[in-house]
Amino acid sequence: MDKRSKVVLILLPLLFALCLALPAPGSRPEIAPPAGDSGDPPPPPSSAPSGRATPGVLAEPGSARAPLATASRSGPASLTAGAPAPAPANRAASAVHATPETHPLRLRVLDSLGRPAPSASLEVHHVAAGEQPVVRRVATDAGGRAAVPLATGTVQVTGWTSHATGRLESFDHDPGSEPDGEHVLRLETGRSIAGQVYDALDGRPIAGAEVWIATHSELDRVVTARDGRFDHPRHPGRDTSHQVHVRAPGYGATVRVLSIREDESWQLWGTGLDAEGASGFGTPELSLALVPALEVVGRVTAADGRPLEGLPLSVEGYLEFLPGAATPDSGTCRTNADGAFSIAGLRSDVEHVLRVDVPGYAKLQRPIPGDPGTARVDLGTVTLGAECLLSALVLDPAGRPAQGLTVSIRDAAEDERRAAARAAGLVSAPGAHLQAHQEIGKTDEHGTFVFEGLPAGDYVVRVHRSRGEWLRLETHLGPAGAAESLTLDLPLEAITMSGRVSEGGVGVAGARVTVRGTGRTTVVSTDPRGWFRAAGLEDSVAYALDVVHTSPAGTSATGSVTEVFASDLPEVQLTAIEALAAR
Amino acid sequence: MRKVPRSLLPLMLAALWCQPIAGDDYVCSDEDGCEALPPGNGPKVKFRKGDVISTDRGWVVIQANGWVELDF
Repeated sequence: MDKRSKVVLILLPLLFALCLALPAPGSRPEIAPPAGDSGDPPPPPSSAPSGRATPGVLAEPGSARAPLATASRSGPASLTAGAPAPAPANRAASAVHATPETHPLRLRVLDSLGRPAPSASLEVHHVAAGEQPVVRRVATDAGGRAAVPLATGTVQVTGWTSHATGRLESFDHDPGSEPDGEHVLRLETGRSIAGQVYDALDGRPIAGAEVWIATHSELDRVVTARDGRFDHPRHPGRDTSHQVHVRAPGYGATVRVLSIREDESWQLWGTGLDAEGASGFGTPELSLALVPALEVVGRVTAADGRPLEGLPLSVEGYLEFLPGAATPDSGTCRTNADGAFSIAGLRSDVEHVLRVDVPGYAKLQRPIPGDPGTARVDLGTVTLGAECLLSALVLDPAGRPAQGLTVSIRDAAEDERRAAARAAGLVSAPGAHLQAHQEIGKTDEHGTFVFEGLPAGDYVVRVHRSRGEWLRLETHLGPAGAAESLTLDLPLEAITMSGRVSEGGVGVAGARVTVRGTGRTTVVSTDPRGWFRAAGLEDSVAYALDVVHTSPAGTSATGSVTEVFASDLPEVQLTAIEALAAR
Repeated sequence: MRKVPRSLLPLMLAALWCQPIAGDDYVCSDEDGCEALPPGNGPKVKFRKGDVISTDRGWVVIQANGWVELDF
């Protein structure tokens, strides 16, 4: 071998190795966001993969197989000021898509006196068509201006300086319609709020807790000091009550509502449950308690014992932060190779529901009672059964396919429990409707609908009209894996009569209303405000109403209407008890 | 029983339309948040997307304000 051949033999492997090391054209994974731009999208919502997947293993392209399932909390916990959220595992895969064309969103920020606000922080929420929401954080220049390159979409902007804050409500960013447009955000001087965050169980102050006024900005947060104290100088005040959110590592998040009026009076609303209200003048001093966090763990298998990997699941609950008002307290994750899952950071004092909703399997709901201070709940092995299917053709009274009607299905036992509670005037906690998970759908252009993923059991199916129930049907699905097909004939002019029973102008709760007509009698009770609904009536029939109410003191009152149509508003007024009816 | 004057009918119809016929849950579906009037006398409260309120407890919602009825 001559000297030239030796050189070629040495260089060939080197060239081959170099070719392997160089990226192929177009394989660059992504372009880094500009400095100061926290452009990471929030973690994706918990949603089942589209389309039907092979039961057993569910894994999205590019998904990371974590040692244990990764969990993410919903809501504000997905965003952190100055610390971009971890990129989703499948981000590299999504970066293959072509980058949409962007145009600058031009913003100008003014202070309360109309002067340019330099170095103001701006939080820009952007949603492009078909994309996940993205939050960008930028600062204004010396002239109070900023420009953010964004694709066409919907934008919402919040801004703040040291002691002022403001917000632009959602608007469309469409460069074609406003090529030189500049959006002006005028800041208002904020009110200071101060206070302390502490452990609800042992009273110790909590350092490092984040406090923010959630409905005004997601990123404008302050952090508590070692003694648990904080000072947030940008509450919007004025005539609206705003939510104050607090969270800390190892604790469940909490929400309180604070009002600050122009006369400097303030009120921290009590929850009516376990948090006392407070009020005063001047700078509000808030005592905010956090409950130690709950971690929910378990393992999901198929009916034959196989662990199910990559399964999306959620734990959902609602924190009632005012009587009758609640905010989600939820988390999502995917199971690992052993089918195991873990969701942490939940409130231990809130009742939750484990929900598994995967195509091909019966949907699963497992209640998790609230117990303050419980650090961990192990649900053990959760087994998913085969799904049942229910399909139906809905025909209107003329026998034609009924398109666009809302249909619902609910477990029969749950439906009965709810009806009994309503009749007794009991009020369910806000969010209970979501946790009970009534399935809702619409009939298509052929008058058909399909409910999938149903466990075997007894159900109540309803067809709804604009204000009331049109048809109610009880049916049984089973055994596991069964598919049933129905034809639902809508009765002629079945409508709901709604009305109110009152005495002296005040609604009467718990009154018994008997509706008689065409050989059929319906008995319903009034709700806490005196309203009642009687479903399944006919439009052209004259009904008679008899109302009886017995007070806790034992006194009774009665009233009646002799002729009323379900679609009419009778011109009737009773002295003791009056009843009105309307469609 | 007495007849109600016809002039009051529009008001009564409006009252029936504006008030929830029966108490239900409403969820805020607007990215900008939603507002509702609390039970009793108090300033309106700003809610976030995903929050739920119950008209059974006296909350008053404005349907065009991002609230979506949850139950049927």
